[in-house]
Amino acid sequence: MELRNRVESKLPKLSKDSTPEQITTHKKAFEDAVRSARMNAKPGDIFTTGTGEYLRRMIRTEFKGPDRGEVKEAILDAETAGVPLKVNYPYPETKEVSAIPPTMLLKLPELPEELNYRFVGRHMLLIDKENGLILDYMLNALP
Amino acid sequence: MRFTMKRHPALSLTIALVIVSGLISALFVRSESFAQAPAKNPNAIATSSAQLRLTLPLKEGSVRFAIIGDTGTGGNEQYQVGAMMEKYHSLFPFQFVVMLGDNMYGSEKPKDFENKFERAYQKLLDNKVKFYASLGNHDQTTQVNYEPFNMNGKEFYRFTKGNVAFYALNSTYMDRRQIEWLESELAKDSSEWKVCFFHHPPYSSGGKHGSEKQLREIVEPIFVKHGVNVVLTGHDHFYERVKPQKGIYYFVSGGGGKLRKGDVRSNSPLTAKAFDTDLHFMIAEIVDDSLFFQAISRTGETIDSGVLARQPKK
Repeated sequence: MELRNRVESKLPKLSKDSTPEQITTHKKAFEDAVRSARMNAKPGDIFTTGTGEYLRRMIRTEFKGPDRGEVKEAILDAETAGVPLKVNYPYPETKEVSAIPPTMLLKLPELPEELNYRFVGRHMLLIDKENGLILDYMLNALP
Repeated sequence: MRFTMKRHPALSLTIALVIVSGLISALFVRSESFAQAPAKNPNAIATSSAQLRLTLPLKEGSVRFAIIGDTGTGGNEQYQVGAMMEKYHSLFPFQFVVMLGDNMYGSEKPKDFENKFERAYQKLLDNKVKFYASLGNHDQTTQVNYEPFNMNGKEFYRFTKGNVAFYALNSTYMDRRQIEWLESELAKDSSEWKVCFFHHPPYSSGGKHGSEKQLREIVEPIFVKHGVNVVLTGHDHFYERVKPQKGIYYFVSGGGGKLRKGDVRSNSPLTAKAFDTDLHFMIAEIVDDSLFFQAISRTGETIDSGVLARQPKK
């Protein structure tokens, strides 16, 4: 987060009353700057083995009870085919975002405001929502 | 010279009968308004205001707004709904529009903001009608900084109009931070009306999506505890007025740009009124203890209308 915030502080600040051009330009500049700063980032840097095990355990608890089929269906329902499972790649803006059931979200460790968990099929991604970059991912996070 | 008119007894009786029959027919119109027939010709576009019918009372000092969901295709049908909204705006000058998410399908390049939003509602924007957006599962978070969406850089936010508080929520990512914010804002909110709007419906008779039960499990107790009156959602591409649930009025209005024809499950116990044969939008008016609503098809026909009484305060 420190690295990310340092990178962001060097960019012109995006106003809350921005034009589409300003939004697009800022997003691209931010994306490029973080990508260069994390050039050597690789899968598992953030979702380490220990973190991954903890997250999987928390997710599994959501799949107990009569509604578990619906929980899975709700996540897998999103059209996410074609999203690259690659660190430092942007989540394509043409792809749907799967809604994470809030009952599950409340069981997961809280992230800094700038980051989101996201699912692509059964895999979990960590996304920087302000520039759309995939910061890390974890395969087969859903049971 | 003074003219005096003596009223004949038969005339008095006639006047009385006219007044009584007027009152009776007004009552029937009010109750009938919950059972409007669906639009008959979805391919025809109403071209004159003679075909438009306003059921809202236009009372002085009321809060007047429109509701659209799942709009951002940039396709002809979105534009046709936008054009019909403009026509109704001339009959019912709503002050603002709430957007129920999926404001932009597909790419979000500068041209897309024009094609999928600005041009579709150009005349309303020119008339200073404000839009307040919430995010859907097809929206980038960066929309929060887009000035015409009035989100002020926030994924979830509150604004007030008269005695009504509106809460825009991000139901795609309902995390602890958002839930705590919602609880704390509602707890201190003394507004007469509390209206929440967001994308995913806690209650819906949609065959493709339907009720989002996990979302409901988290937000419904908060709504009930803090006296939320009305919940407006989209995601399912049709219109549905849900029977009140735990005292709260729910609407699904996700047909502002996309339609999922025939998606409402027949015989759903949730449905008070549904419409899934054409696109639509809604207009609403809140005054004192009443919320008047009207759902209108792309072609300008009224598909549902009525008045909801404000629930007793918690």
